[in-house]
Amino acid sequence: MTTPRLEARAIRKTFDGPRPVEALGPFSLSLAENEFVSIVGTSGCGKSTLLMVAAGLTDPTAGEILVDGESIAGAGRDRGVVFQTYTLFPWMTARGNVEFALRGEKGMGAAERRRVALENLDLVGLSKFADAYPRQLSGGMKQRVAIARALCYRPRILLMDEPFGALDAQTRLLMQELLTRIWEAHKLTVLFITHDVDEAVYISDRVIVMTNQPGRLKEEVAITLPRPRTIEVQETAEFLALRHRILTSIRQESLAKEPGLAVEA
Amino acid sequence: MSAAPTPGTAAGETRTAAPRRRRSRALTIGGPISLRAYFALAAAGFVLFVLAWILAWVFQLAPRLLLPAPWDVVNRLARLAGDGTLWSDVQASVWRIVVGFLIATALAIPIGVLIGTYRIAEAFIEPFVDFVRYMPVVSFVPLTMVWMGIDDTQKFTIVFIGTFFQEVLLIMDNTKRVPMDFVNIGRTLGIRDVGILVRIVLPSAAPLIWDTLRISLGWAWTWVVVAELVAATSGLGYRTNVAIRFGQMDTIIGYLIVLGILGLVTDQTMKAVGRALFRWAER
Repeated sequence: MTTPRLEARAIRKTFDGPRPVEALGPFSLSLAENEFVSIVGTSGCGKSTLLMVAAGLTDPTAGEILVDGESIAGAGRDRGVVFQTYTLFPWMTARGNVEFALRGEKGMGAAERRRVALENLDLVGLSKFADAYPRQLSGGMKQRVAIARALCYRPRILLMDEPFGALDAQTRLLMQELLTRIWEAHKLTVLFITHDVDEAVYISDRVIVMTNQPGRLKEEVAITLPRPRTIEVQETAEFLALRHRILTSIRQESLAKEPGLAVEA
Repeated sequence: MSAAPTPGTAAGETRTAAPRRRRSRALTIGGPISLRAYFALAAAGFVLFVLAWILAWVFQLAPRLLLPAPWDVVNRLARLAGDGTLWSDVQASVWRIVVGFLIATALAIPIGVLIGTYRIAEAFIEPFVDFVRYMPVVSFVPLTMVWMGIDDTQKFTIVFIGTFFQEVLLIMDNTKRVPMDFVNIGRTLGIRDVGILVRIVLPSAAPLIWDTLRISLGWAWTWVVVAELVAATSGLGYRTNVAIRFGQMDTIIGYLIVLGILGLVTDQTMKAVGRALFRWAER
């Protein structure tokens, strides 16, 4: 068996306080190279905590994260992150934001940075907006630049925390198509957090359902839908069956969390 | 429009359309007004003030010795400007503000950013700064006089005390408004903490910090005049103090107006520079 690209080994996270909250785990997971894995669950199930731990932005209470078999110590350039919140720096243009990420590349001159930045903006279809400031961009465009920024320095893994969560339904769909296209063309290892089941089924190779607090692995569903995937796949019986299975699984968790909401059949 | 039947009314039924009076948009909360209306209203405020002043003078609401007419004040100011007194007073006060304020700001920005980002720094510095902030600046005037006399250094010190502690706390607050995910992005890009502070936190908080500076600069005017009123040999506050001794109400009121104008000009200049510097931050 080859070493997984990303591995979470018995991660636990407890938030201290007068009443400590067990947010996560123990949770284990491994992502093969070029695998696209989504994690779904009710809000507050600890999926974002998992991503923060994987990114090295939060220390786990127990367990460890390994990238290509090596334990991580904090955040690093081997893992690119896209957040749900808009994180483009408003004082820089789209290109400036991408170039900012490239400043950490050793031996890369200004001209090369510019070229790579434009190349990556082109990848997300925004080369025409290279000189626009974030306030001039729509929410979807901002997230596309954020994706370009996370991809431009070729991290080994892309971690995405509900990156399309703040977008309207139509834009979200377009973003899913874009991400699918990029993934299919370039092959990346992606850990994707979402609460949108349609999104998870459409873009992933594998979907993991988490239990509600503390977040543990509840169910793992392999998404066998053929690739390349277009949006039409969402109308196939196979898609709907997978969707139903995952929704049912999450629903059990939601009902446990919100007692009194169950409608007797 | 008036002849057309209102949609939703049954045929044949006519409604005497009592024209619904709509309140002007300008009178609703957050309602917009034109730029022209804005300036007209602003000017009207000043005109009204002068008018009230003239009326008070005409009807002698206060003895003329205590309340001179606007033109008396203008005449006096013209004379003080003519013989160079006004200019040298303004220069002396401005110099004290500039030096005191720059030193305060140069220290307040790094310290404010630090305590806005590191909890250890906050725990160590913030409670103490808060404690000093509640000490009335005026109480430092006699103390600093005893310590360092009444020269410029003492004035710098008063301006410093009056602005530094406020600035530190406000800048801490400005810094805390920088989204945590901005910092997180810096981390995932492998940038070290110093780099994150200088290249992410500082530029991100810069528009708010600029506003803080603008507001503290306003206070600096107050403190320099307070210090000069008590003991000085030049400056706007000094001249006012002399005028009190000689009962020159026109000078006192005239200098008050000069202070108001200087404050207004400084504030508007700071605002304009801020807009030019931080175009990216506009909505």
